[in-house]
Amino acid sequence: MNSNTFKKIITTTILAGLIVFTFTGCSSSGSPNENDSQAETRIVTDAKGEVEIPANPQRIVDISGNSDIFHILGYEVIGTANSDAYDYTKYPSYLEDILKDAAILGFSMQDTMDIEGILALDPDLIIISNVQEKMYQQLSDVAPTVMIEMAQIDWIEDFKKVASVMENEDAAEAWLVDYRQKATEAGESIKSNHGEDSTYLSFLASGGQIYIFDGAGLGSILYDDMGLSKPAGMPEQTNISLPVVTYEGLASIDADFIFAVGTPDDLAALTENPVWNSLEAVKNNNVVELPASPYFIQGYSSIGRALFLNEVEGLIDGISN
Amino acid sequence: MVSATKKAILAGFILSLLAALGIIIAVAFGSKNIPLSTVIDSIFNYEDVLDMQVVRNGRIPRALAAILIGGFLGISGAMMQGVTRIPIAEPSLMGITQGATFAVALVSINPDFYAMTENTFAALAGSATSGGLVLLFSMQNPRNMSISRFVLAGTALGTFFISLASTLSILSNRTQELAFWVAGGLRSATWDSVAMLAAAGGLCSLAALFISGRINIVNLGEDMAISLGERPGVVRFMAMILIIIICSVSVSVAGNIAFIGLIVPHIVRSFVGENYKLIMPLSFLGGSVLLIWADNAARLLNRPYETPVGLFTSLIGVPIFIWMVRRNS
Amino acid sequence: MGRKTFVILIITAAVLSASIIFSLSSGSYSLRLDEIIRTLIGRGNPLSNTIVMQLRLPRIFIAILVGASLSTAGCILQSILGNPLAEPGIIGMNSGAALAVVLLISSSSSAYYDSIGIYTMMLLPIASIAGSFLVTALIYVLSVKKGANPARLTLTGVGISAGINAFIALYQLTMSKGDYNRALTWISGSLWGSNWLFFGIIAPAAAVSIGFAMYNSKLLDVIRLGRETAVGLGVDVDKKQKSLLGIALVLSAASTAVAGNISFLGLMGPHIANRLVGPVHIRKIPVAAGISSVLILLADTASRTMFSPLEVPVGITVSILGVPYFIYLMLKEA
Repeated sequence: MNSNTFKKIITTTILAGLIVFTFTGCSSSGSPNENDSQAETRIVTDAKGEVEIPANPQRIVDISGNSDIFHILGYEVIGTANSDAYDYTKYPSYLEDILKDAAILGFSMQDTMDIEGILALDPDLIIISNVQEKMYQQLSDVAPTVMIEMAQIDWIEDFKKVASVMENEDAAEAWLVDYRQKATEAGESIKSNHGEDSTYLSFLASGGQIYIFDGAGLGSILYDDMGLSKPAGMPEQTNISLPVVTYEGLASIDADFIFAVGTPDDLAALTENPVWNSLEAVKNNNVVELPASPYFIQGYSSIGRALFLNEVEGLIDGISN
Repeated sequence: MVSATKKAILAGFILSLLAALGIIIAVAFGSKNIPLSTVIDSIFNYEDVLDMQVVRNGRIPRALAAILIGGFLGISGAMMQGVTRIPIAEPSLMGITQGATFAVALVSINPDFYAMTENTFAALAGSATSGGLVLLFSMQNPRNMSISRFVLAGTALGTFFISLASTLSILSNRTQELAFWVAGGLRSATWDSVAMLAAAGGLCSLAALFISGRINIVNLGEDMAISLGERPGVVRFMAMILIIIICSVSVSVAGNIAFIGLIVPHIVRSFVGENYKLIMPLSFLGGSVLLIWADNAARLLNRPYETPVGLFTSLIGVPIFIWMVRRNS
Repeated sequence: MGRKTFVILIITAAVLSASIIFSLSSGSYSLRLDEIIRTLIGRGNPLSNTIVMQLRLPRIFIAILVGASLSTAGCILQSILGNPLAEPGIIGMNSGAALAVVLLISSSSSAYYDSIGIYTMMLLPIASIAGSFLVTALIYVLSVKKGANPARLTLTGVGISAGINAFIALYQLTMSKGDYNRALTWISGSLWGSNWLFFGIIAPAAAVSIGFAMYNSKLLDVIRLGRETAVGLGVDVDKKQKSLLGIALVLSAASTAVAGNISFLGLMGPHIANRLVGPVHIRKIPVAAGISSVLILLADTASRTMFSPLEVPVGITVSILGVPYFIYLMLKEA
């Protein structure tokens, strides 16, 4: 190849890159399919500034891990990163039906994604989270890209952010009202059947450590949504990472009912541990064992949470008989 | 020589006291507040209640595991320095513990492997592989072994095994669990692990003490040892086998804990001189003391959370390592 | 410069070109060779344009840059440390970068996203460069005692990086999974997300430094022969050592800034080059740079395609390929 041509290409591209970079946020008109669905656009403000997106997007790729929220809002994504936390080639079981037509492009909690796979889907709207900021520029060259800044703990905030980007706050609010009502009902029902003041604990057991769900995952469903009581001695969660304690720390938490999440190996190790076996809840057989796939990640998903509400009472009834 | 023995007895006495004190603290205090009377009852007057379970099946085996593993790391470091004649040889700097870490990662990620072997055997296989390679290096040209070359080889081996383990953890989405394996810690010690440590590691440590006289001879240098009728290759091989077994049982319980095998023998040596009959048992005691106190710090400084114990051993180890490097060259 | 060197240079260049073409044509979006060529000469459709010109090409160019920089840094270090196994990653130059990145990600993950545009993208690279410089300075200071003894420098580096790793573990264990994965990608070394902007910033630094190393190739040859010989030939070894170490640091920090920690690359290229064209640096540096570039390009292509949609950080792939070679060297040369 002629080295001069080559140099020219490089220089032009670098310059182009710089220019595009400086004007991030301005829409790129080079979208591949410009037909009527793209005709109407609107401006949304995201973590990066203002973005012009189609008013009625048809081919949404979401790699922020919020594909379930899009479903609730009435959009089906064509590419997703809501893969199972323990096997990135599969959907988590509770999203299998919803996502079955979407391509898996990675795992939302990782910053690397199959970026060519995203482009190949020919999206008209791309949703990323701040974890994937590094590819923002390259994606926004191809299609309008919205970066959602994920809240540290508050899933409702994430939910509302997605809804506001899609300008569909009403549907979101309706779903949330319904969800809250279901949660309160489930909470009241459990309270009346299993004691008003009973306390509940949920955790992930992994490699001899106990990750306590306090303000996130299953824990926030139990406490924040259903209004169940926290046991005494709970470590408090201040950011997205779960508090990690040892068996001794677990023994300091005095819960009446326990949801133990773990892989088969981890649960086996747990039930062999003598300290675990002398916990009050364990002696009273008040433990629900749940497989880590999907229950670990399910507590972080809106649809997953709603499904958990449907079954939580049955789970508790199942052990207390 | 007499004075060295006397010093050794005195040092042994002090170290035993420190170890005993460390054990008492380890048993009496923890993330859960348990009254002292209950702690004492749980040893002498045991009932099946939660607090006593925590002491009996949580704190006590953990303390004993710390004593044993610390001792194992200390004695294997001493042995390694003796046979390689490299003053900064140490299992974790040589990539031996990383080999075991990789094997444990492999087994933890893959349930099929887990059904076949327990962690211990995996760790054994992993450290045997990396230990065998280190053995090869050290046999290659024992007369003319450069220290920095030896350490670089170990670093390379360590990087290699950690890379393999990282690949596994990325593909199975267990990256953060990997960090726990690599960082090491005693949180999952049980009575079973204590029994296993005591049986396998204890036996090997005894065996190690039996060959300490021969290690002394190898430590004199290749030509000297041969002229004294010793076969250095054989001693080196035996020592390596013992180190591999000791390291793998330690790693299978506590993961990768660095620097104990490096600093303890060195400090001991500066007290009692180049006599491995004294260095090795004292390194065992010294390692025990260091690890139980480091683990006490790890458990108690940020209750109810734990700090990685490797941070404390490194905090003590790195300055001493650098001081040694400056002094030796 | 003999005919043999010329032939080897040509062959290296040819293999490098072949690797570029191979890398350009592999990826999860399949493009035929003629489509790629059409895109390269400016006749592609918008999609192939983005994939080739914005994704694959910058990544390839940065790979080559990183390969050449690390290889040259390796050549310099092996000469001034008198240790044929020295390499920026192994002697701990990058550990400071890793620490800086982990601290940044874990301490300020929310503040980090507040600012907009170019600054957030550049924050990690800048932090990593600062980290490399600080820790290398620390290693140097700690190892100076009547001059910087090369063996002491090496060992101090290994010790410091082992200690830093313990600190990194402390932060890593309490990070969220997303943050943790970001840090891991960085620490392990990855060309993920390479773009022209990074290339534009790093290229001048790398080019100047490699040029400087080539210009001083005679000096490297002399120092490699040993301190006494060099002093005998009238070289102010201590002073030259410092400036050459500085160049190696710039090269290593520049590549770490865009690609994270990649070990062994600075080892393999120079060694293979040594066997092909001998130890004379004016021949060795360019051949080594070419070989390292080929290695990282192939490793990176494997990293991004083998387990798609996931990526294995290229540094890990390089280590897995590089260590067996390293062990072979140890066994052969010990």
